[in-house]
Amino acid sequence: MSEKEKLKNMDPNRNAHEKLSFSGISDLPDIVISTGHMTWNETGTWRYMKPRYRNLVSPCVVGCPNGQDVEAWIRLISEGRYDEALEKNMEESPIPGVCGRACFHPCEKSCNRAQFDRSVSINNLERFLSDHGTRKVPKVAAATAKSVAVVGSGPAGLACAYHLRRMGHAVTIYEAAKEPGGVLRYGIPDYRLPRDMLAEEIDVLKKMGVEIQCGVRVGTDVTWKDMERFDRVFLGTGVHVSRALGISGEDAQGVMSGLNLLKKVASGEDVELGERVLVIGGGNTAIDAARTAMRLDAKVTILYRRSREEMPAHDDEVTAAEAEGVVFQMLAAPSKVVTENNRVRALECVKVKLGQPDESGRRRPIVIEGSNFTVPCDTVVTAVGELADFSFLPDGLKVENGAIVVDDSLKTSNERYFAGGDVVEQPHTIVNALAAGKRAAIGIDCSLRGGSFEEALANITLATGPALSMRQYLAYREHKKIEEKVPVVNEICEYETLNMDYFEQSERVRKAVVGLTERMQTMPASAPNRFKEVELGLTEEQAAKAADRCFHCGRCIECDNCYIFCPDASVMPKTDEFGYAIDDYHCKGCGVCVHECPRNAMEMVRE
Amino acid sequence: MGNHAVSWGVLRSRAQVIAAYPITPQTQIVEELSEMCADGDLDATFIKVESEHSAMACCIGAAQAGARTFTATSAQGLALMHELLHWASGARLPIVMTDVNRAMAPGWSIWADQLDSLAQRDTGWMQMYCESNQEVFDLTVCSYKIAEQLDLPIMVVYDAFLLSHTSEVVDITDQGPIDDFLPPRQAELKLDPGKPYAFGSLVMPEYYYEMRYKLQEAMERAGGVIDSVLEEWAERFGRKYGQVEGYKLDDADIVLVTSGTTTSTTKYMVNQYRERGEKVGILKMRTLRPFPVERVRKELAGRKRVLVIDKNMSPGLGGVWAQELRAATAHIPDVPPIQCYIAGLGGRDIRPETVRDVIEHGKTQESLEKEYHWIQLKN
Repeated sequence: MSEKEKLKNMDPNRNAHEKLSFSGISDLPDIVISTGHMTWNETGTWRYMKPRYRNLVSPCVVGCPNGQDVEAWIRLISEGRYDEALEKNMEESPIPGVCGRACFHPCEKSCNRAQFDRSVSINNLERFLSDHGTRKVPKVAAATAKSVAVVGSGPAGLACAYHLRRMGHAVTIYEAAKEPGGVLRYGIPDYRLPRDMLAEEIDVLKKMGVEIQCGVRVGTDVTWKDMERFDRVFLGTGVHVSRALGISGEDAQGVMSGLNLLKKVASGEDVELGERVLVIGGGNTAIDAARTAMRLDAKVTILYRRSREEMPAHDDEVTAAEAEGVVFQMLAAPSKVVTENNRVRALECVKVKLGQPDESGRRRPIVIEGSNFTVPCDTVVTAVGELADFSFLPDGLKVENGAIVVDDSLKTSNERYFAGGDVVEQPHTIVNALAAGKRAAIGIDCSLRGGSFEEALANITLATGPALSMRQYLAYREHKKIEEKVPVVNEICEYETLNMDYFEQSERVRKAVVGLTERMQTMPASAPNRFKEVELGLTEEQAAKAADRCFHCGRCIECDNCYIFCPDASVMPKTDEFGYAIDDYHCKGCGVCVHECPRNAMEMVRE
Repeated sequence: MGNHAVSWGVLRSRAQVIAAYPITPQTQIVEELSEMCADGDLDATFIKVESEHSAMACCIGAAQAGARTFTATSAQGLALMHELLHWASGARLPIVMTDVNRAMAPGWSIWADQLDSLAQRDTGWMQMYCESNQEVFDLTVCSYKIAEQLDLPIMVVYDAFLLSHTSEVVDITDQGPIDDFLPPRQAELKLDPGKPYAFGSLVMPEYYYEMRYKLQEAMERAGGVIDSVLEEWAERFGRKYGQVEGYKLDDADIVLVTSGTTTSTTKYMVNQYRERGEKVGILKMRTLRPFPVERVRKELAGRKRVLVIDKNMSPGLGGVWAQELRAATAHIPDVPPIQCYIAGLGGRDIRPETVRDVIEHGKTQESLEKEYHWIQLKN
């Protein structure tokens, strides 16, 4: 057999270092072709830089004040692992079902995809995992012999209780109302957040062993002295007092606060609104009150003293209210409640124009003298802001500017008391309250264990913060190191560092809503489901599509690009675990893998 | 248009991978091919690339995997491919490429001039020059057959605008007969995950010399293969081509050597001289590589004058065709001095009067007084 024939029949895996010898041109192949493998040629010695895998923090994770590992649970959704997605979410929050419906989702603002086409539908995906995952009761650590009282069962209280209980502390929640949930139960209407959803999530806390005492007002039904049997107390009582309008006649019958209206409806009480309802204000409470009044057969007008752009309410909500028939009277302010026999008959208003921006950045309303007009109505609902009532607080807690004063660990001026949520100075949102509950739980745990909160922060702050990782804290407090599949560098993955060659523009997945016709049919008080949930969840197909839009910023998802592009076959998938192995003996350090990584999950390091 | 003739030639040849980067005057070729791919008329992968260098790299990879490939370019684009042109021939890949002759910049020019392709003379590519759009179509198809029999790449070359953007009637041969003429490519050794080989890797000095010998040996066979493929084409489709072609050559005393579209203008002038009874003829060059040494020796022996019209200029020596002819006929008795006329650079028209001036000047040149002559130079 000639060498040429031998070559044709040769095992390509033979070691090419064992040389073939050709007698001459009749023997040689026509083309330059390998005569076996080349592993003997250790090209790794040419290298002076080496690729390595490292994950960064996706911007959604820190865009969420509560530090949800959004990317991680989106990936689980896209893999069809809904139970694990829900479990992953619940590492940081007890109420994914609530947040998937009612969170104002700042995560989507930070989503890198927003700079490419439109952000990933994170909020809808959170609801999806809550709807499609099976709720598991989280693990509770061994009992610590410490106990904590949580006053208030809104999002801050629930989060604080949930996390403290996971750490093994005994937790008792005190709630003044009949049912737990605070603002979630009494402030957000059923059509946005169904009660049974909330109940299901609170039930998880009960199953974990959190004791919930409803109808007990601390300071009245039990005394602050009674609280001394607890090692620590968390105050998450929220804000309940509606700001007054400051005009004459506002004590008349038929004038009520938005909060009160929502609470009454949520409590199942009958509310007589009459035919014509005027809602005053431009925030979320005003919108909730207006849409609730629509569902009680009223003709509703919202009176707001600025223009639509200045409304603090979320745009989606305003749009939905408009669609449902709420009338907006912009640039008008109330000047007097017109009464008859101490009963509301009309509201006298005055027209307003906008001047220079004030300290809130919004244009200041200026009353136009003599532009008074009167709007006849049966009920006036006030929703111009809420205040905290601190009269119930124990003595000696420092309060400033309508908020309890706290330090970085949310500890008050009394070291046994912590506070968070709307009672402290922070944005009044569900997710900020959740974050405060988590932070306070960590602060309380540190103080109970005599640990340093600052040191904990240094270990669990996500990138630039302020969001904290409870997953990391639970490992940290047990002196454990989390073995990540890919080492993590605690920095945000910026949009500019992604390789956009690998992404195509795609349409943002939109949540479905119950059609207006059906919505209006259910609205008359006689209809059985008048507070039926308006927004529908994503179907599995939609969720897969929405999840597929995620860039997975800074996180290796085994897309195989590095493996495919390596010109030296030096990147190989690991057979028994996640990720890839780099063959040090042959990697030339060319950096193609790093360059072609779509999501900046690799970097070159000098050796 | 010549450019469309290429696209149709590639379609009929059932190319499987096309990679190209746009450059005037070539762009229409790949534009039309991209539409043919998009419309499903041509079952090929069309790869958009960021440069001509990448286009050739794609063709190399695809050809190595056994595919029939195509690309097209001009001037600066061809120059950018230069490194990979060597690779394609060294790796013995039968890639077919169209080069629409365009002058090299600067001065920036989009017009016809042969220097771009002639400058790639030593890359191991075969080159064939076309005079008409029918030739463009026919030779594109023939090129696949020639290249694949030799495992050598080939360039089909023609003049910018004079052919590329000029409409002529072209007989687009039906698919069936072309399929009979050109069967699918069969690559003996190719990239195959089932039987992995590395291609083009290190060869030590003990064998590189022999590998080059084999490349040249293929080039030596190329003349015969080209002849037989062109003969088969003529038999099947009735259109006959050669590596060199004569026009009123047999009894000619004065032979004008031309290539590309210059030939047509020269034919017109030759006819005028013939009417006056002067024995003027044409030797039309088709192949630059392999260079048809024996043919030109035979055709040029015994003539009174050999006048080469070179639509190119190799700075420092003169016209490339003339140099090649001189080298081929050196020391061959009875071949007169080969006179070189530089004409038509950068798209300057070669008009009948230009040819007339060449002939009249040539008549006065008994010996080789100058390596080359400028014709109609604006002093």
